[in-house]
Amino acid sequence: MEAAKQSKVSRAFFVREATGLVRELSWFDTFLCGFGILNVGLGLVQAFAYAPYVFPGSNIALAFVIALPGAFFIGLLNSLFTAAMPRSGGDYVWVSRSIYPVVGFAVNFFVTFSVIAAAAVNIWYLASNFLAPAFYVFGLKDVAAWVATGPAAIILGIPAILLLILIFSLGLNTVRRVMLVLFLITGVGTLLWLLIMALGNNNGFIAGFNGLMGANAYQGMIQTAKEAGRTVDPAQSGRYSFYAMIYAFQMYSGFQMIGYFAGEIKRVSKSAIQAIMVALAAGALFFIIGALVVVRYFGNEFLGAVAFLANSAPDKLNLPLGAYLSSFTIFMTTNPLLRIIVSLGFLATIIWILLPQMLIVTRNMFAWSFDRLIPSWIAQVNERTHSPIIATIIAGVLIYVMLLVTLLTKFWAYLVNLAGVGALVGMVVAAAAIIFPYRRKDIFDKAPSLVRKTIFGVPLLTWAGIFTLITQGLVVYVAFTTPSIGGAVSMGSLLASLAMFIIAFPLYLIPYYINKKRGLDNSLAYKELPPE
Amino acid sequence: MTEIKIFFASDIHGSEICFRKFLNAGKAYQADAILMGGDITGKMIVPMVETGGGTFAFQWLGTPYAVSREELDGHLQQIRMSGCYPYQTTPDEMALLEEKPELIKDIFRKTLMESVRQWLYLAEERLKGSGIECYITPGNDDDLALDEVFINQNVVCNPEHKLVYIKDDLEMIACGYSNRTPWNSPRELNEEDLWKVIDGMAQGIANTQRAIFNFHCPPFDVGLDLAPRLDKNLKPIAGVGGVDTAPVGSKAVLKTIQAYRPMLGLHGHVHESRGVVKIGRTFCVNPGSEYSEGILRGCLILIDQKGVKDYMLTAG
Repeated sequence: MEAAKQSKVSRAFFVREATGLVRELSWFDTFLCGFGILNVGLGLVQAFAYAPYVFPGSNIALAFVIALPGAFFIGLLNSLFTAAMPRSGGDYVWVSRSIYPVVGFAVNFFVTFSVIAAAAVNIWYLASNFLAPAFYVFGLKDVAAWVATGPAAIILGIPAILLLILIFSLGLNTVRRVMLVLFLITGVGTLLWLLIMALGNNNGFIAGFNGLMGANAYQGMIQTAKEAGRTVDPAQSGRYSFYAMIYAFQMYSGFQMIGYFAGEIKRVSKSAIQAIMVALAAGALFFIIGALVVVRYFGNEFLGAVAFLANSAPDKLNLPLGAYLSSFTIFMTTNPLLRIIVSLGFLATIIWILLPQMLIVTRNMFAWSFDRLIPSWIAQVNERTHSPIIATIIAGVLIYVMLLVTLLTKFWAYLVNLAGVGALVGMVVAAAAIIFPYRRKDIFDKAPSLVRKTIFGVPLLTWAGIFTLITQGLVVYVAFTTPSIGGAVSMGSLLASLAMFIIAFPLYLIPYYINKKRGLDNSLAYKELPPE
Repeated sequence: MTEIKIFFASDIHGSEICFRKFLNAGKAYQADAILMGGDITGKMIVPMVETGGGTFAFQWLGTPYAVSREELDGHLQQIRMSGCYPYQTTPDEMALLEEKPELIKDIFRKTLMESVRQWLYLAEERLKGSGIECYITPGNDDDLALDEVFINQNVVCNPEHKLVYIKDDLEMIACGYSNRTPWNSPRELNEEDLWKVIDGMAQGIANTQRAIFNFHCPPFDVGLDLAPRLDKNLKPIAGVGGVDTAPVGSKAVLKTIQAYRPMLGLHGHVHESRGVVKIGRTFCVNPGSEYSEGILRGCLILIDQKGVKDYMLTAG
């Protein structure tokens, strides 16, 4: 304290007129960027589509609470890495610099593949669970019924992807503007949806459901699920609520993307951590309260029955539209305006989520191109449109191919193990955080004081890495020991998922040797140059 | 020469660690020539006030310090490495500077010129006899007075407003000026005037097929010049999904590249717009900058008889 008192100087620094000296983004600006990506409405819908089936009797609100400390450490890890290397652009470079470039590429390749797979599933659900209800509330019931089918997703996937390509070909600012509009529509729709549930009750929903589906249809759904084999063991409720946290983790993801634009955050160590933590806390609050409201309104047994039938006996699921909660708007209110606003909100939310997914895929292609791992023409910016048309088209085609693979084969069943393998990849990032302060002391020593903080002599970043490693390890354990995740877990399904990580190694090493032969050694791309 | 390998970096903004890495890049990457594309001087002076009893007070990265003269050296080194200039002063001088801020300009000029002078000594020490050619161009943020520091240098060449031959083969013209920015930096011109300057230089090139245009400012709206869009208070405009961007490159540079179609365009200026693009037959690169973290971003370019054979973006 004494030193601090003595050292008071009238000015910390003098600045001259030079480019780039912009006013800093406030933590709230930064928070908005991150919170927008944390999609509360879609998160709740997706959590209730799977968790009650895989972990019958689990308490989803509790799962969101249990997942919070783990998400906190993942957020802390991201904040500290971002503060240490604000312009590096994310986990690809963090892992490359901390471990080896090939490992960084493997992590990034797998993340890209996962995002492509997730985008494909989102386009599938866009048709069945989001577009169909929108058609329904506008009175186009036959169209809605057709849209909810698998073949419709194959056909509608084409215009959906063409629309994505069009938006991206108009440039990133257009993408952000579209995101803003969709975010506003989503926000209004989600809040209204939550409000209808909060002001209503289970009896109201039952009346609405039975009114459209026939007398006792609500109880009938629960009964059908029981007859189809759904059982709930109350003794397992606690354990399953704990396991259900793996879905909660998936819903919490997204706020970490703040790291992608950290270059613009001036006091990054303070702003990034504040923004990430507040986004996480606000998201958690929405998820936990939202989950409680959903259960109170729809009824736990009913939600479990719907999820069970949708995933294990879809032929017995007698619903006019999809089985996502977004399709249930028609049972929640008879007011056509409310139906339209909520349905459009949900439609906006699923389109909205496709934009950052597309952004991640094209951005990563750019990074690979710059690292000479894929041909440079892929990331070439078109002279007329000033946007990376080829990379955008390739991303769109890959998403569509994955949509076909998902709908026409059993491949996706294997790929659900991506959750587990994704956590394995998360463990690699955690390992990078653990060793970074020791292996890249040169960067660590220059990092802001918060990054250099130690607890019991161990850097905070290392602690964040250790706890993230434990958290992700837990997800891996749950993912690979729960039979319902990824169908029947076999060595084959595990290897199919792992293959997407392993395949990255030859994909890196082959161009590496080709480039080396041509006179450029890729291993030097991230190698620290000696200053002395 | 059948193949020439050049290393290009830019915008180190006074970071001594990045400059030292730059000097070693030729050897580490086995490059024949190393080129620095401008904005070599820092933006910030950290006053270290002698408070009596041999104690110096200053603030660094938000932390206040009071250190003895013996402890000072380590801190001076750390500040220089990050791109800031430590400036030893007294409470009286600080009071005077508060009163007459116009004096700060002179202090900046003297400090950054002395710093670059020291760098050039270091360059001479490290590169003399190595066979590695070294070209350093000032950028729009570099004071005009800096040019005199480069006069009569044996090892380092400031190629601005000259036609130079890299390895006696590749013709290169260089310009550190940019189009207008909101900061009124030392080397800025209107687009029309900038075009006259660079077009005048380009006219002197004998073979544009193998020429290099080393222009600090990137061409307009080709993907190498995207910077945060700012509001009237110079604050980035941000919202859901990130920060808005806008192209800030030069139309004059684009026009010149399109007219002369050189082999290679080397650019910097916009730190966040790292990338490579082709404009017609011209391969253009902006290696970006991560100087504040002490990381030297650059681009290694392999040139053969046909032109640019390959490249690799680096972060060393």
